Amino acid sequence: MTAKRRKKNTSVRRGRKKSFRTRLWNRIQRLFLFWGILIPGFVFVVYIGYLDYSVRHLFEGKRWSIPAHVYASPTELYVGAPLKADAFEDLLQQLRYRKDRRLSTEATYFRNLNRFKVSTRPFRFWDEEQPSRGIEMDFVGGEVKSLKDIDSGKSIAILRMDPVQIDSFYPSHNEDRILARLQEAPPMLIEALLATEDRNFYQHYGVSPKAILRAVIANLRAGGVVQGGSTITQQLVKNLYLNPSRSLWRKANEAMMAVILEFHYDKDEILEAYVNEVFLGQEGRRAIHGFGLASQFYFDRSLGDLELHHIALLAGLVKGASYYNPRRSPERATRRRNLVIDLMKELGHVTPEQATRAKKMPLEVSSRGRHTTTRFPAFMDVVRHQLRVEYREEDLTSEGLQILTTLELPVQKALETNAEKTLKALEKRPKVERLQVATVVTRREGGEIAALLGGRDARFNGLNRATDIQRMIGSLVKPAVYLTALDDPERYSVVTRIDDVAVELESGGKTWAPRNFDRKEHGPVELHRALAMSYNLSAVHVGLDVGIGRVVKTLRNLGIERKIRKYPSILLGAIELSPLEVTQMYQTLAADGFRTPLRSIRAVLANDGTPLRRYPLTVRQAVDPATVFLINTLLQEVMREGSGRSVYSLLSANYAVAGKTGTTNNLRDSWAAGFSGDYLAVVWLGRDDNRSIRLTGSSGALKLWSALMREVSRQPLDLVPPDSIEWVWIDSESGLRANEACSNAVEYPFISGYAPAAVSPCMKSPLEDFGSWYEELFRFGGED
Amino acid sequence: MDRFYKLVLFTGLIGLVGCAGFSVDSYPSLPAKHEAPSAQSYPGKQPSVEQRMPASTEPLAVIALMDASEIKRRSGHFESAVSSLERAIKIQPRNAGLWQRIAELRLEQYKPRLALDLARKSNTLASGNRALKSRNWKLIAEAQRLLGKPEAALKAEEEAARLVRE
Repeated sequence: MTAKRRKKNTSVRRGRKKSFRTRLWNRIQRLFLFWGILIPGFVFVVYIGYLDYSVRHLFEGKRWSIPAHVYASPTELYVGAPLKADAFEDLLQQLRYRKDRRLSTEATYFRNLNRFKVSTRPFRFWDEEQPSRGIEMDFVGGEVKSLKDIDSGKSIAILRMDPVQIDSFYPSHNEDRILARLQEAPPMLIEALLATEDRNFYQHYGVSPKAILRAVIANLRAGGVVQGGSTITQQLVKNLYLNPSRSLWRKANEAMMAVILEFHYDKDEILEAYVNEVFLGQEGRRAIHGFGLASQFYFDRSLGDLELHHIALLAGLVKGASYYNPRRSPERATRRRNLVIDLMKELGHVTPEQATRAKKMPLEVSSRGRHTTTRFPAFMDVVRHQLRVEYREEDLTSEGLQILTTLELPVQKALETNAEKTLKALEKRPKVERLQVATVVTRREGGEIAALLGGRDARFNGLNRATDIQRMIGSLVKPAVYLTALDDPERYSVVTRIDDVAVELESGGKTWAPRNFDRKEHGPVELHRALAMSYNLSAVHVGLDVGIGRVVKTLRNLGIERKIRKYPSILLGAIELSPLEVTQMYQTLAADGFRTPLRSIRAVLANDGTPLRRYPLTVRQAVDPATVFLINTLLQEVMREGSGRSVYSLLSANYAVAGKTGTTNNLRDSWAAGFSGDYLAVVWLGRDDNRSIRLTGSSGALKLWSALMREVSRQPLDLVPPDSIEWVWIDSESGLRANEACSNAVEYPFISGYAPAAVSPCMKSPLEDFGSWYEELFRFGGED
Repeated sequence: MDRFYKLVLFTGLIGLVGCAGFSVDSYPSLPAKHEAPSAQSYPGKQPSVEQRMPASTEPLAVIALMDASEIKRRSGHFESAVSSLERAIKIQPRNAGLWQRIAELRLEQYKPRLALDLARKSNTLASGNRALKSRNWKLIAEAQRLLGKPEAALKAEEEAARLVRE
């Protein structure tokens, strides 16, 4: 019984034991399944999902990341255009046209004395596509004398040169590229690329075990990494990730992502992305990506114009753009180029003759790179400001927008050169030092900003004094005071006599006693003279008479948007404005009382040339053109006989420019604002610490204004009197109506019907006049 | 002897003046401006560009741009047409005819406020060109009507008619 029980017990224990083992085994199996396969599998799947997302996100989001490119105003060519032959060649060089007697590609030219033959570069402007054209032109006496089409021999009425690219809005990593479609790339470039980087590109699935094996063997033999086994797809992944580490984990990741990329996209899409993504050079902070930009960067040619020896050089750069830099290491680059040519010959892409010829060619790399930094930071600041109203930062840095601006390079160059020269000359005077400058130049009509200087160092990308500083404007306000007065023709005309006598005003418990610059009182003085001589007391009397509120309203009409407090001191310019704001004010005067918002951008195009937005010419009549005509004739007098008369030591007298100078208390600010027939310029000189610069508007800012206008202005100022203006002779002694027979008579403009009615004693009746003439005749005879 | 010659000269001059129908009522024609050196014309007064250069002497480039603008207008590309005229204005900024054309285009685009100001600008530059001014006033009249100002439109039309009449 016991034995049986024992037996039974044993069998139970055995059964228990068996079931325990089974359970344990099962548990181990389950644990293995869970921790060894399911969890890693799950993690792997999640990770692949993450990689898949990353690859697609990167590929679709980033492959077309192109900075916005910013262009200057294009040069218009037509018979009679004011352009010198040397200036034209300078333009061609800025546009990176190559000298080529045969004009074998677009963007080439040939000069023989004053005759040019040019093959232009095509450009999509806002309003039309301009194709490449062969043109022939002659220059005589600073003008375009003839302009012909080379093929047809016919005259061309007008032609726009492609605009000079002045800047780009780079993303944070400073990548720059010109997008190239795969179809546009020369087939030879693709062949060269595949020959050197990935021969089995069209066969593999993202990774090439054969290539890896080949690389491993080569590396083992060499005892280090000498060859990579990466396919083009893997390289693209690496470039997209922008991670230079060479760890095994990253290599594995790259391989997986390459396979995923191949799964989602076809070969041509991948190749096109690679052609645009690959890093091919560095210039300062700017990274040159893609073959489209590289061909411009190294050869000043578009991709379609490259020849075998250019192509081989670019394909060779993929291996190491810095190491094989053709500008820095031409011999090394030549060896690499020739190696690529040999490879292409081996694979039968080029004939031995082609290869031999190409290897004999020089590198033909253009001598200098493009400018590394922003060349016109102050102007670009205004452009950016205008763009930010409508575009997000990422649109500007990734969408490849083309921004056509109003900057006129010759005017900007003249401004920078003259500013430096004038400031240096001024600082030779005793105690004149640390001068700073800001200048805005616009087209007289249309309000386009032609040039802008934000400080003495034109390349310094910091404080923009043209837009960001506000300083007292001094006498620059006076035209607004007199404009307000002349707008009331019943009370004021240009010959109205004003009492230039001392005045004291109580304001907020303080006494304000303005004085003239010469500390004298000038008694009764005609309005035109008061403005020409910039008498402070006259301006205060007139301003108080018409009302400060009305003067402020005039300033607002002229385009000042800033809030102005209605203190009497504003009549002498105690208003802080930026040079750009002053420009807006004078722009309205220059444009006959029509206000046009200042513009730095003409149009924005999408990367493919589709017009997105245009900033057209708009005008709004803000002040009566007849009153503005009166003021402008007075501003001509200022420059002819008043505080601005020194301009004619540089300008020809027929320029009849209109303008005003301004000086603030203690000679802190020196201003000059004025216009000729084609340009308006506002110049400010001062110091950053707001100390005295010991210069008046005339002895400081006006010097730069005159030098600049002499260089850029081509059209004298020609004021057109509106219908409501009549010219009347006035006896300057009595201020009464006279005729041209009167000695001291001057003809002045008036609003029709408001000239003085009373006749000056100098006007005698015709009979009296005849009698006196008769007497004179005999008196003369008697003396003989 | 000299005195005798002067008397003869004087008598001769009297005769000439008499033949010319000299009347004591007329505005003195003598002495001429150059005989009164102290008198001066305010230098702001000068013949305008338009007076010196009639509209027909526009440079070929401007004519070509005007033609291009017209072609674009006919094909309905108004902004592009305006753009061509803006190029022309950069060459001849004070050409009243160009400003008028832009005004016309803006009116066609149903932008009466802008058209009105552009036509006014054209008027400011159109010194002496009555036909051009009359067209501008007609344009202003139409713009005023579109802006819901029939009275101002009527006045503008009267001004246009007056310019043609006189």
